[in-house]
Amino acid sequence: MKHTTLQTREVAIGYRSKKQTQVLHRGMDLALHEGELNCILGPNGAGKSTLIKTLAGFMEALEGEIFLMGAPRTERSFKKLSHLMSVVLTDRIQIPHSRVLDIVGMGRYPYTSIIGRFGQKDRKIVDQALKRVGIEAMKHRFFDELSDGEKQKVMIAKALAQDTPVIILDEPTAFLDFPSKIEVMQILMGLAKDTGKSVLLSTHDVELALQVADQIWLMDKGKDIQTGPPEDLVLSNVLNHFFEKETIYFDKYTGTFLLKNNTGSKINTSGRQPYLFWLNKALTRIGFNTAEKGEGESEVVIKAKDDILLLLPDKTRTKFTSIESLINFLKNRI
Amino acid sequence: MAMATQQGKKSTHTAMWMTILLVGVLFLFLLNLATGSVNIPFAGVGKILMGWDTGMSTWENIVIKSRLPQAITALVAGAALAVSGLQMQTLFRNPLAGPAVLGISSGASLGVALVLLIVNSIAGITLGASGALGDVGVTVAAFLGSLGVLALIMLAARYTSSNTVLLIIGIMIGYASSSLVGILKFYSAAADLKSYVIWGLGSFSNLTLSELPFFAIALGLLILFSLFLVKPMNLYMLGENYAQNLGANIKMIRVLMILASGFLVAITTAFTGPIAFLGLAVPHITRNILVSSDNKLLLPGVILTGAAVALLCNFIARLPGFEGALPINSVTSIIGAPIVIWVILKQKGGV
Repeated sequence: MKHTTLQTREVAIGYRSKKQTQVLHRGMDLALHEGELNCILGPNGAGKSTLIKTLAGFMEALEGEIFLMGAPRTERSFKKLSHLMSVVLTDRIQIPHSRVLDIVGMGRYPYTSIIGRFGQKDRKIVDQALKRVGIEAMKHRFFDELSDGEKQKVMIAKALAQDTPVIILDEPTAFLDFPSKIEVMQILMGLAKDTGKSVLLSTHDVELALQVADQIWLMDKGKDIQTGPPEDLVLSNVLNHFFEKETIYFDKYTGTFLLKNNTGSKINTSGRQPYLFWLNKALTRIGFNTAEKGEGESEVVIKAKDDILLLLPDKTRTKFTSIESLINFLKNRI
Repeated sequence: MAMATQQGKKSTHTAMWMTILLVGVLFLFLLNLATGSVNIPFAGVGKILMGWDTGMSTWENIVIKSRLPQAITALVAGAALAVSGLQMQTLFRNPLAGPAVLGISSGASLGVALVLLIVNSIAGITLGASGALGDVGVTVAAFLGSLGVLALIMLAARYTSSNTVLLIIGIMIGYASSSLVGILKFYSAAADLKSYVIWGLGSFSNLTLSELPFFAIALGLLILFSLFLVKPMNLYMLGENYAQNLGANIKMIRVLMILASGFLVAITTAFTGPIAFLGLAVPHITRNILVSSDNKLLLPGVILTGAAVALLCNFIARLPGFEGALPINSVTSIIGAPIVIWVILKQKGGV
């Protein structure tokens, strides 16, 4: 049984002002375990950021209690909390003349004396953090001059230098180019696996999250939060329903979002992967609406790249030896 | 290896500039003692400071009674305003912040205006012309005016956690005080008006030898206290959320920074009048010469730079030919504005 690092009990999140209280979600029972990467997914306005801010202590939970390493967070001092949880936020950082080493070094502040003097151990931990994230080479560069992806890695190294069992990141892959998104996710996944830390992040990169996350937290406005390993959420259709839209759907065979074609005539497809995946893509492209079974009048069965069988409503069977020849045949019929 | 040399280079750079600044402060201090309407050789100044006989009692009088208090005032006031400016720029994360943003010096002006311009109409005394009693009255009025505004700001800080709101309140208090001062000016006698205007031009020569220890010790203690704020100040640069996550009690740090900065300005302004530009510009100069944002270096840096710049301005204000003609505020602004523009244009990636 893996140790629980962070746990919420009957927590409600939302905004409270003098005049009114706006609850986004209530009755949340969530948990982070050591060595696991958790991703919060959900559309804008679902309350991802609010949840992150509440867990990180920047907002008060409206109800319930958050436990951090076994004790209620409200009973811990700022100092103690800084040893238990580190954060990477979307706040823009602009400190002129500040070098990468200075920023990462701030992760050690909770451990230094009032004048902030660094010991041998602090320096070593900062170096390890830089190495772990792969930015040792740029440690003397000015933070201002880094790319967004590099800045994000610096902030992750800062969180790492803080040496906490829990790391929480608010949209760490936003505004990054695709390779940087993957790199950041890989760093975070490796971190959880190798160091036993609990990592929780929010993201809009669903496909990426499904590949790296141990647990997915699905959030949407007015719906209960759903949690589980990505595979279970996909196979039980929870994820598919969550992201179902008019023009887009989540294809559980491929783990990707695909364009939905609602207007074209329906055609049933079946067969072996990966051929079926590419067959569906081709049929969607030329205007068909592919379905699993029963709904369409025609059917295509693909067993290999040169073994394609088309069954038409009039019971005629035609064999094709490539997707191209099938497509050309169908195009002529439309 | 590359890292060791890089770090070495950086600390050498810092050590070199700290030494240059320290030597600069000492040199400018002596220069302030030696020059003026009567020029005294450095050797003579040295002898007087050591308490040796120079055979020139006029020299001793000039140096000990007039120039020494003035130079010490400039040194301490420069350091205090620079520290206050650094704290305000850190608190508001705004390069244009300075000691004046919270309206504290405006409070001092209002206090002085009330005393100089109203007392006359009520009691029929021209305070500006009533010697020592008047000076003490002005100092106390300035201090009380500052404290009044500081109290208002602290009250506002209890109600809002937004520093931007606080900044706007400070600026609004400044405008309100200026407008009240304007009304007072309109109804006051010409002689009082002149005393007020002269106070507003600032001066490092108001302090007597007997007032000096209080001035220097009070500001010295506040600066010493500020040294203990460098760590949370560094965290504050990351923003309040990061600072809190890194263990800083941000509510307390905010109050301490406002109080330290506020008292530095209040005490300085009470004795020297409002000194423009110094507190805003010195942190920029220091950041650029030390090439750092680390307050552990910047705080000692601004203390030295602030002292040096104040001494330089005082020296220029008393250059032969300008004798008595140049108010310190004009010098600080005329020297300061181009320096700030140059520094900001030179800075990579904006402020």
